[in-house]
Amino acid sequence: MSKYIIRRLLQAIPTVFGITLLVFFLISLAPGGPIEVLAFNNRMKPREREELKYILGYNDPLLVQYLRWLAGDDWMRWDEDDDGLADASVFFIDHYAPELDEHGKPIFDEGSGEAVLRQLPPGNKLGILRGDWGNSVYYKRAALDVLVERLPATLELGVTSLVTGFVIGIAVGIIAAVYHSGVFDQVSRVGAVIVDSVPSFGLGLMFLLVFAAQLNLLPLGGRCKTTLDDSCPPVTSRLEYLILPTIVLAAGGVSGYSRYMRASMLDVVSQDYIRTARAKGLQERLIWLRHGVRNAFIPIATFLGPSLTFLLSGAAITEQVYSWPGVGRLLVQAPGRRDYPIVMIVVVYGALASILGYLLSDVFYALLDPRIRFD
Amino acid sequence: MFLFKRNSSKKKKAAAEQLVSLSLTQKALRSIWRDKLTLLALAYLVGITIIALLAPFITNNIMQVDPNEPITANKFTPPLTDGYILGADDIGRDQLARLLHASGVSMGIGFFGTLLALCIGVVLGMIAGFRGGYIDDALNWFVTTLDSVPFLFLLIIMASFISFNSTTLILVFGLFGWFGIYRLIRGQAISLRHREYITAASALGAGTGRIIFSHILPNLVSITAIVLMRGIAGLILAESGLSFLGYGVQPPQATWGNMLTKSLQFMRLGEHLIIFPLFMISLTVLCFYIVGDGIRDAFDPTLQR
Amino acid sequence: MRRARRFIMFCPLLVLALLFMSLPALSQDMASGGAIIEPNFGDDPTTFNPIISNDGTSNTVIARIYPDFVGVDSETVRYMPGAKGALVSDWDISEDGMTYTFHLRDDMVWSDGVPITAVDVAWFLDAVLSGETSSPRQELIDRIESYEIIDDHTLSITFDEANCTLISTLAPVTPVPAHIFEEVYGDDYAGMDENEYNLNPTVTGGEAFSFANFRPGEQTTLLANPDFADAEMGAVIPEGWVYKVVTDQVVQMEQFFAGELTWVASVPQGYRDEVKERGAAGEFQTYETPAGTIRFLSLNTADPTNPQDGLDEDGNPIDQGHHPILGDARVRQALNYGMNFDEVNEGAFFGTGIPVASHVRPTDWSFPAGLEPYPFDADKAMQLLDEAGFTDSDGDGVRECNGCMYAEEGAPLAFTAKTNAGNTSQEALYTILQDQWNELGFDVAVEFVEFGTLVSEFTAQTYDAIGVFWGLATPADPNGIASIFLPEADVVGAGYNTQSFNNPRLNELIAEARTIPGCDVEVRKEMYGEAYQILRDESPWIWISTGDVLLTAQTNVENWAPRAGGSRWNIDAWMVSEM
Repeated sequence: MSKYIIRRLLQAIPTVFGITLLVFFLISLAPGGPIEVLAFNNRMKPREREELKYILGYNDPLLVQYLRWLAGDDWMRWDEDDDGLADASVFFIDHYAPELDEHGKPIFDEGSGEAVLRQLPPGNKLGILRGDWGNSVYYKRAALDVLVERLPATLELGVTSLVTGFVIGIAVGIIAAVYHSGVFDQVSRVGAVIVDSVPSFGLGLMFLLVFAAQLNLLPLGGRCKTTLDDSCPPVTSRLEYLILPTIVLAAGGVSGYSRYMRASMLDVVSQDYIRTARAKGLQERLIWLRHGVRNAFIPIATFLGPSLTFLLSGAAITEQVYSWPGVGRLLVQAPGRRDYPIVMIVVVYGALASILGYLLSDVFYALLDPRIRFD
Repeated sequence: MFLFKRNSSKKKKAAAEQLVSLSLTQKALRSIWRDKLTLLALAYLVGITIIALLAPFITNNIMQVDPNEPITANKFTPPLTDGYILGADDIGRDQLARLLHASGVSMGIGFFGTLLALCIGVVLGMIAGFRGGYIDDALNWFVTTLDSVPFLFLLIIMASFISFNSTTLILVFGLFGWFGIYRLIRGQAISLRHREYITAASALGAGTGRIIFSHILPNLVSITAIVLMRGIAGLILAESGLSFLGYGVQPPQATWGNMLTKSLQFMRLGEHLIIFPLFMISLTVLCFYIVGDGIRDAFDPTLQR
Repeated sequence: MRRARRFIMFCPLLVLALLFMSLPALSQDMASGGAIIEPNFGDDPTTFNPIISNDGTSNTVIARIYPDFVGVDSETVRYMPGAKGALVSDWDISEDGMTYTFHLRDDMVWSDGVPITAVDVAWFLDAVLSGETSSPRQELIDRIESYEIIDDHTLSITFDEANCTLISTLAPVTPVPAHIFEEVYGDDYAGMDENEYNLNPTVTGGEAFSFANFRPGEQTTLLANPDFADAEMGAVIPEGWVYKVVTDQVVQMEQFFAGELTWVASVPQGYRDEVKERGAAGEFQTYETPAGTIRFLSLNTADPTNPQDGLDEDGNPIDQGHHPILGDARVRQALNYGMNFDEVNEGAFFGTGIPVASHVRPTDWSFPAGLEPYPFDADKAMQLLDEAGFTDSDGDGVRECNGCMYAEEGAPLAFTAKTNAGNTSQEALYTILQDQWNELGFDVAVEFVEFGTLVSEFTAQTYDAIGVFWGLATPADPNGIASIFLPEADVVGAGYNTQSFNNPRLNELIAEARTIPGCDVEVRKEMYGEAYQILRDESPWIWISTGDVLLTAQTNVENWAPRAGGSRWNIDAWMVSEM
């Protein structure tokens, strides 16, 4: 088993690598980039702006910039004589840049006609592989810290929704299959599709207005009661805050799981061995539970990966409606502020979560399906 | 049936296969004909599509209103008042006219976006499935990579440098929405590749292109139809979600999503401005789902009665 | 199977145990003065360090936990000696007008008991004047020549010139606890941004509250400062202040209606009528005050295809070409005359807009008597367009250039107005304006652009017309126009004079009004009056409107008494009783 997991982990490496490539090159298409944000104050002179571009490496080829983002530049450009300026660099970048005039244009030596050069400071980035995602443009602190601050809330909501969606979806699917063509079957099928058809923000606001504002049964968004305390109480004492966002977020899961579970069960019970079991006189209920459910679970296991990706997308909207202090909301606000470090880290985090989901799917699948062997 | 047999008598083996596939289609059509819910949904979709296509004509010639012309004195007019069938919005534009125009845009984005995705997905899926080897590996890597980024996250990254309008949304939806279809088609292609009739056809000297067109594609009709239905529904929802987050199609171009998002702020002043767009989105998406499910059931041999 | 059953039986026990463990947290309750819960419609504060703070949310919190240096009197809305919560009790100005001697109060203390003195002001100045921090306080760096600590409670500051706005220049100065900052930050001003202390200031003081905690994405919590010297009632009444993030407007108002929020500093437009009505019925307290923002449409007067700076290295104007359409002042005036404000007001602002002709309001001292917004006069507008050489020669409803000044012959009278996406009233405003202007024979395209992109285009000076908001200073700063209309501010990519406006008389007036010896208010008022008139007539901006903000509070908040000079000026006296 562990060999299998290791092999799957190794297979995930090129995917992770691909994601970093994708995210980096997509963001590099954005006009101006982070410099534009830094530059939008009267204080920064054109020369300072251009100098900053050299120091941060915005004039390097894109591939070098990617490498710098990935692996840092402390090994690309370093200081040998401790004067605070770089005096050596690897072959693909320079440790000097042209001296600039006040318009940010290079100064050329009048005699030789060559650009006047000056040393750059040594590289100080560690790169994302070593946990350096740069500072958030807006929050002014490490993007990684900002992400980590928001993770608990997202995990709380994500795990609850995932489990709720799974449990309810499976239960509904089983009941619908056992009593197929019955009233419950019809109602649950139609209900699932209807819930799926309403935009999630519409559903979220509707629930909020009905159950919280009108009926006063549940809180109006937020993660816990607003008090002067310095933290939210443990999640178990504020479950009421989780109910609405969980329902909205789990709705898609419930409808998906129930439909597939139903179909999968019906498929299984039409198989030959079930007929054999029936012929042997096994009780109908036992047939459904012992054979139907167990075998129908197998294809469901592969759903974890996709449903995680789906959940993350949904969370961005749900968190916005319910003022939930999660990661999704962080991403939503970032592009407008040109806060690219935040955009990058959240997207890579989302992708890693999905990869993990796919990985777990495969492991569950392997565990459940006796036909798959691990070697 | 008889006519068909005679037409294709030249290549008996292939014809026999086509017969099976066609009669399957016929069975499916018959089963859909019996499924009243699917028929009803289909009728709605056909109707709304026709209306969407005729929207400019309807608003110009029949209603004689400009969907983008503000008449501030009439703002928040409730439905069925002063000639406004569905009322007027926050700056006095006719809601019915805007909804009609919006249906073209919203459904158009969904349709063309899915169609583009479908084309890319089918072509690349076929290539990967039939060729295998390095091409398959490379495509799989690419798809796994892109597919592991949540779709909305991808859209939000792109919002950093594209301001979405209907064209860019179609392109983005198409270029980043084909992974699911690709997987389906690739899987189908691989399993079909090993089926006997394909082997037989190539043994008879049919080229790959011919095999794909005359043997594989007909088998994929039901899958593509289902994918198309669910895809359009998904994109209509995605467009509205994107509008809610502030990255959707910008006015004056009306879409169901931006009409709904905008009116949320006027919840207390004009509920009709929320109800109708929300209803249009939900009903249309629902019908696409129902039709998609109907087609799936119709083509599912285990469910044939 | 049996194991599974045992596990299922165990589950409720586990839940019970968890519930039991969390009981103590439930029993906490709010005390007598109550907690003020205020919505923060937006995002987290980014720092609580006044030296680097650069956004409104952070500043709102900072203003509750750090004293001002010079303060604004909430009643007169002017910088006054001895204003509430300000460290400076009085100041003297030297003969030459360049050195100010500030006398500081001796009754303010930090929360650790250390008195607030001149050293604390000096620490702030040292950090900012080093020029190494990320804080955008260029005005301070430019103006302050030197400062001197005379004694613990006296400080003098020498400026590079005598001008009439020096006190407001000092507005950002905030005393910081030097003994703590020295220890925490040392002299690494450049590295200040990354210090964790920014979000967890342990020592604050001099204001009504002290910092308690910050929960990212949720709320910032402050607790009553028992040592606050200026408390209206002798002591700070509310127990604490929570600045709570609410991300959706509908949810924010529902929370207010449900009594979960103490007050709302700005009621969204869609709820104004309802809140006012219910306020009149005694359900809420309400207050209306002039908005701190002005909507404008900046018209690019220079060639947008070839953006240039306003001045060369020697300070001489650079020829920047002319905008083919908007380069002609008559076209700009026609746009003004063609704006039917009543319709705009009704449609976009729910009748709450106020037409403006400059950035000062009638209540500000520099407001000149005769300054009037353009009246709506479509005939006049068309006449101006005819004069400018734009007539509709082919009868398609759009005018073309027939002998105009800068556009090519036959070119249509067309331009693109862009504004920020996602703002409903801006959308409504520009949709209506487009309609009104097109009736005059313009072909105006309107685009709603994501804010970041809009800002890039604005500073790059590649646009025709861009409409956004201008956040005004409190108190109003008549000199604010300097950074927007002087050629020095016309720097591609950096300055705010993106419309490339250059009017020699205006330049002269602004410079003189700022530095005139004696700073006689009447003389300055006259100069600014002329400057505003030039800006109105030449119209590099279309001044569209300002408006009122509706504030509302629950009825159980005693002493809630917002003023034009600050809605939270007496927040230390608010008493939130049980509903």
